[in-house]
Amino acid sequence: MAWSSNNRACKTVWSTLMALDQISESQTFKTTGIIKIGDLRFFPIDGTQAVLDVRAQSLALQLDKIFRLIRGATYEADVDQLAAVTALELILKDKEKTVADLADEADSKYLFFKEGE
Amino acid sequence: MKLFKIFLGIFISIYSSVLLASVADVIDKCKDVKPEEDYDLHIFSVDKDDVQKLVGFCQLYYGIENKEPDYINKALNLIIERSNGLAFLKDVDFKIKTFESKTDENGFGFSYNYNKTNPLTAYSYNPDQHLTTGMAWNFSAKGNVAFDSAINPEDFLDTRFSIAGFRDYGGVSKVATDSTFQQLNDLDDQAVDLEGAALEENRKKTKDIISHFFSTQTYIHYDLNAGLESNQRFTERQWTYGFNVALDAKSYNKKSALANWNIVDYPFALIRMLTGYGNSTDFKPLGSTFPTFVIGLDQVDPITNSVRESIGEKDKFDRVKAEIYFRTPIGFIKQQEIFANIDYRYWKELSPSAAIKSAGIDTLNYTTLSISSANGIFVSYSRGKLPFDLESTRVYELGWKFNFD
Repeated sequence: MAWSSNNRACKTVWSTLMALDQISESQTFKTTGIIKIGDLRFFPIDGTQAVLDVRAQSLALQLDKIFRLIRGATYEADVDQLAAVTALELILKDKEKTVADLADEADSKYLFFKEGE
Repeated sequence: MKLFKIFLGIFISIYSSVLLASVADVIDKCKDVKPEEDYDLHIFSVDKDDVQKLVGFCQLYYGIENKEPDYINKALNLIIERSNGLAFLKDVDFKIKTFESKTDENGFGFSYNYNKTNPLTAYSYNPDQHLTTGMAWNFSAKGNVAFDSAINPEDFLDTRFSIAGFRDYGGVSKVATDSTFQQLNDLDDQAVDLEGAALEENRKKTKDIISHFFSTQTYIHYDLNAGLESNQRFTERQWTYGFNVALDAKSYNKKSALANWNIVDYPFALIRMLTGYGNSTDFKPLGSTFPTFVIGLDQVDPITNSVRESIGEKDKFDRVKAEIYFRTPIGFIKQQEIFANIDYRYWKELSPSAAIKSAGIDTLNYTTLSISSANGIFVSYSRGKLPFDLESTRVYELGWKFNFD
């Protein structure tokens, strides 16, 4: 999936990362998709694996709550919280992945509010 | 040098089979290629796409020949992608890197990082408290290996199995309604084509609405683990068994008690205030950058530990360990966000003998301070002892990292 302004997952991920202070308020939509996970504010560039595990899972859980409770998303069929959070967490542990990859994963696990309308 | 010739040979063989007919042909053409976008296409009578591939190849060729780790890793990734036999390396964060010892000796080596987690139970979610719990097992292996072990300043390999659980409280205080869902979607739709002040105004409005539903998030991790710690030659190694508890608390509201408690961020909040970061001149510590804490208790069973053996210590011992990690923004340079990063690790032996104390190995600590941006590390300073280190190490890094993707 390309990073697109027509995709609700991309726009919601962009907004949510901004609300969670992972990117700045001046970060445009167009330039957000190529940002690497290792450049988000939570990513521990000098820390141990233990710190990365904690911070990635913590952020994945918070993304899940915002998507569902503040942005009106529901899980796709056959997806539960474990599958959705684990998928987001795996992306968040890989510093070479991009925000577009995160949005792609979110799109496959969540049905966002009025997605496709 | 022999290693690099082998590496170059593998790389050229695989890459040239895709791009050109023979290794000799590739090397011959590389002598004339200059990596410029408007390179004269008629030289090889090939199309632009092929020239771009060739220029990319030649950059890699000369990068490898000049022993530049970024080029070597890029070539290595190409080899891994094209080779079934090396497919297992896709799951391992394997990188060629340079090492610099405290005596300024340079050399090559590699780092690896493998991490596999599988859930043991489905997550349990309590909507009243916004509490999520879960359990999983994990296997990890991580380390730095220098081809000349004498110059490895981070000579420490860690291989570990653990069973872990977590409890995640809060983060969201209440559930929004359809009208809020729609309002936020509308704001996003309006913002996608905005830039500058109009964008920031839109984003601030979005943030204010979302923040209304936020509460402090408290994430607690706990695990039981067993692992093997060693130096890269395995001449020093020890088993460890123990448990860890980690805390990661975050608050995303502008005015939160947690932000006020984030005293580590105070100096950086002052820098942000003085530089007008985010168009604000307020002193504003961030609740979203509250440090992550990991503490643990281990029993250590030394198999071979020359430092301890030299003072007659061969028995198992208990130790506490801790790590604090902190990362916060401090400003922008040419639209690149700049971060301050602090990682502090600490090990302390419980009830050490007099010999251990006098040898100064009952307490170890290791600190890394760095300033970084999306383009890499600007400056980094590491100081301290890791387990198996005989004496304190200082490692400075100063430079730039460029992304070629």
